[in-house]
Amino acid sequence: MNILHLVHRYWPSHGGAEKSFQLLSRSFAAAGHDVTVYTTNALDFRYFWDRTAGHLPPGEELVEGVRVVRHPVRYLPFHKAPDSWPARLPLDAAQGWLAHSPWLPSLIAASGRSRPSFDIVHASSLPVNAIIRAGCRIARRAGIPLIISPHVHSGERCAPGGLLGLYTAPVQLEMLRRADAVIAKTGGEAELLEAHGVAGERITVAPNGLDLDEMGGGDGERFRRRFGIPGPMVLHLAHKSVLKGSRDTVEAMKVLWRNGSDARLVLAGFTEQGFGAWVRGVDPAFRRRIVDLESPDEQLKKDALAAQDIFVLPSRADSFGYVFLESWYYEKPVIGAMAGGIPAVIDDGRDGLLVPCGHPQVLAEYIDKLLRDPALREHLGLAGRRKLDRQFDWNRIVFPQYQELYERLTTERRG
Amino acid sequence: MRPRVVTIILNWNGQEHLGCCLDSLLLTTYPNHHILLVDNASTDGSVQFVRDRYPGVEVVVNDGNFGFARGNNVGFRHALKSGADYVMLLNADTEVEPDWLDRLMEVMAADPNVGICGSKIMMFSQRGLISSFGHGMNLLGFAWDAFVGRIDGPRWQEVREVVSVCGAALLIRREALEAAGLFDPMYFAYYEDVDLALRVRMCGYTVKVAPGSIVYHKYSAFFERRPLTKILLSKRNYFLFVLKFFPLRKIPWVFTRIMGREWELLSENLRSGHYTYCRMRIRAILATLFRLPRIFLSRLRNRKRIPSSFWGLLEQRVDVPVNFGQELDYNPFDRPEGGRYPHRVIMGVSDGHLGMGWYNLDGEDGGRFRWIGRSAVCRLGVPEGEGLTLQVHVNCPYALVNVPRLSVFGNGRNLGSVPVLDSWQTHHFPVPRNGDTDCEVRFEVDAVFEAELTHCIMDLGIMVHEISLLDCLSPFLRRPLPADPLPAIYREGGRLPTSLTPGELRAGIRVTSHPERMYAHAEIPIEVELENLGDTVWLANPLPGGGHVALGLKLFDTEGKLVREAFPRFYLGRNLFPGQSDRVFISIPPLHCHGQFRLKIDLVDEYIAWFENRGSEPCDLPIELQ
Repeated sequence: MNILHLVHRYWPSHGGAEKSFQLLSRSFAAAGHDVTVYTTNALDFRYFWDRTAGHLPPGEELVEGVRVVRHPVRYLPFHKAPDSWPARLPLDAAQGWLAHSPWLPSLIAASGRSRPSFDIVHASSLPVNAIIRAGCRIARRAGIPLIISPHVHSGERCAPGGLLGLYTAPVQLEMLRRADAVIAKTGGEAELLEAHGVAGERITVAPNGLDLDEMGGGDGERFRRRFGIPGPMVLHLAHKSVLKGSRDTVEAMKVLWRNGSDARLVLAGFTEQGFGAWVRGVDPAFRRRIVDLESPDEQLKKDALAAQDIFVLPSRADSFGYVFLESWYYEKPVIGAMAGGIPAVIDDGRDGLLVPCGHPQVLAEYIDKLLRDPALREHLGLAGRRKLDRQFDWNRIVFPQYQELYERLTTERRG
Repeated sequence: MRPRVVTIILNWNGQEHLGCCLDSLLLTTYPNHHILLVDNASTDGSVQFVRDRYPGVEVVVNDGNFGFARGNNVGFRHALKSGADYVMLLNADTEVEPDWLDRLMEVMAADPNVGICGSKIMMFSQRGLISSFGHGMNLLGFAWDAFVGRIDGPRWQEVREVVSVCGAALLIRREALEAAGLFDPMYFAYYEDVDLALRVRMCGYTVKVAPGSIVYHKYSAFFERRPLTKILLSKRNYFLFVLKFFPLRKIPWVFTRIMGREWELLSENLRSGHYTYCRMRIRAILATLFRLPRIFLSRLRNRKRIPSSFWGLLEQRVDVPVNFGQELDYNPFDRPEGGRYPHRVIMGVSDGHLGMGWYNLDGEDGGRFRWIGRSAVCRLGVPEGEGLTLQVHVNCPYALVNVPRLSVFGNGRNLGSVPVLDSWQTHHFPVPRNGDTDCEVRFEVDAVFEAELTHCIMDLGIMVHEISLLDCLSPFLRRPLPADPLPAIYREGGRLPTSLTPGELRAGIRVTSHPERMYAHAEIPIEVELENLGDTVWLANPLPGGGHVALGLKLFDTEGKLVREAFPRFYLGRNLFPGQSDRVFISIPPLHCHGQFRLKIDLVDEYIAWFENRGSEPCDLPIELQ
């Protein structure tokens, strides 16, 4: 099979969608298929509107048996970094629309040229519409099946609105409705898509998976020695922003610190500007107890995962929460938020705990409880690991679902 | 012979509601009662339906949809011509108790000064809950249905004087109507009832609610199909009402605040992507401007009638009794699907089966908490295992005014009580196991009904986020962290002054960090350290009528001339007690000017005073913009 994957960023970029497409492409290539990935040269998400942010050289390369074509991100006139005009509009949604959907002339040209025929196209993810639009165009021109993984970040169940608007604009829904298959990460996302008019029979629920063979090798001791963390350690590994619950995490730790806790907080990931400014304003007495790592590499990430006592991600903006699986691999307890796809991943009270967004006091109390109760930590961590082996093992459980879907769609189309 | 009452029912494509309404009206026990249906050119066969099925009902058909105000005016004229002593307005989407009119007439007969008397309007689908008990109104002229969502109880059994009553069920005396005039057709729908009530008051009459007269109302049944129209009309009419009635000298004061609030809401809508609401807000403002000439004429006509007494009416404090009864009158719960109650209720997530007494203001914080006004109940399943604890997560934003106590009852047994402070706290109550599979939990809050602080006539309540019934090994059982030591304001019987009624306002303000180079077209991030050197508690949460403390800026040139003062306010992160200090991180929006300036940073007790005017030293920061 000749497979085309389109995704807004690809390895070595970090992120849930990026990780799942890396696994998908690599596995199909290893299974003997020809896999091409069209992506952008952005390393940081901010590169889509800020040309000073991290990026890679554009061009073509072979990564783990996969042909990766990185199309250069171009900027519209007057789109000057760092004060880009979309980012200056007073509308979050407009920022999302304009800033998240980059201008990719070479991808547009590539999608219009006649190519060696692909058999199937799989595109991801919203709200980066330009990528999905290119996928739609290629599939339509070649008459081949199109799969879309939208990765809808539905936000809080009780407060739909703002965030969902980034993923459910009419033009986006139209693209989803025209796809041969739409992949939802959780049952909740599937219901949401169906409620927005995507035909139920075209939606496939396929969770993210973790390649257990590549997750090992984290050295917790090394991490603790390097950063001088003798006592309890709380890890928050995410794109650091208010939406990901980074601020709630710091606020919760401040409650603990005021009550005499000696726990350290490790914040690891790319820092969003607004959050960076806020965290600089935190009382220096508290700031000293925060270890702030900017975009850690794979090994440092594994070390941090192995070193932590509790993993905390009270995020409003996750369609799945890949990092929970990574924490479970190291048998660590996790705390997530009652928002987006997280409740479908964490079974509240059985393999992790869920907290409401925007209530740092509850988060502080749960962290405090777990720090004081090693037995509960171990119980939740082990339950998580068992769930990971049973439901989210990429090679054994998840990848075969994708193989079956690809084969079914190509066979149907040929038939 | 009892006085003649004509009930006007205004209808517009409401055939589905008319049957229920007229059936109940025919059972009215009041003897001299006549029903008049005014139809706003319905196209759903309402008129034929009424003529066929209710031959005793008189029908008047209008030429088009005249709206609530003009439509009812047709009915008023017709009723007055037919010799009515009293005219009753009743919405078509209602149902009445048989003695509803007797109770209203009792109030009217007892006091000839009562010009308008309203019924106690209850929710149609949840009949134990109040939909409207008169109108409340604040100093900005904003009116709302008072006590909406509350459980009916002894508190609402006395005849009470109110600002105005809801037009869904309103009885007006003929003399009052003739003196005050009919509805103002400018309104179309919404606010016309408030307008009429105020005009009746200006003629020397009073407005009351008769609690014995019960009307069940389907809330917004007619505008359910067009909710945006409702927003547009109520917003526009609110502006018109203020322009029409407020004393001229007060209008700038009021409109500054209204527009400030509108701007906040507009920005919020823009940020959250609710563009339709933005459009409606802007349309409401444009529609108001379009009607300004008419308002001007109306003011000219009424200039002698708009006395300062109107302002006095708004300023009057409404004293709400706190010693009302304990007993609730609610229905047993319906069991949820599956027949078993959950052990945990998380508001906004699993609160579907909550009982009576909980309410949530429209869209407040995404529904992550519910309010209890006075009392509320819910039913939880009892988990298996050892030990049993009730875990609740509560907060009272008004605790600085009055720290309420929350008492908790499990299956009627008192489990204990705790004070509720102004931060989110988890409390635990041990619950005895007695073999029951579920437990009815009731919350009682004492003394939260403080009538108004900020000139808003409002009820105070406590916020609840979680209620869980847990065994002793449950992972959800959180050990509450020791709270910060109680500030003196709670510990001592006497209270410190707060920024609502400030004593000494004195602050130490120091800039702890700022960028070395500042640019004219870029934001300027600054960290400021604040210390409360006075004797007043600085309230951090913005209050609608002011009284909270915020950081404000003024920009001067090097010669001391004021260049700019229109800066946004920066709120404090928490309440600051005397002697406490905190850091605030502010980001000054681009100033778009070059050269050397002085930035004056000072605190402001909102709508009360700048700290500088009370003798406090502001902070002067010399800046150079490139």
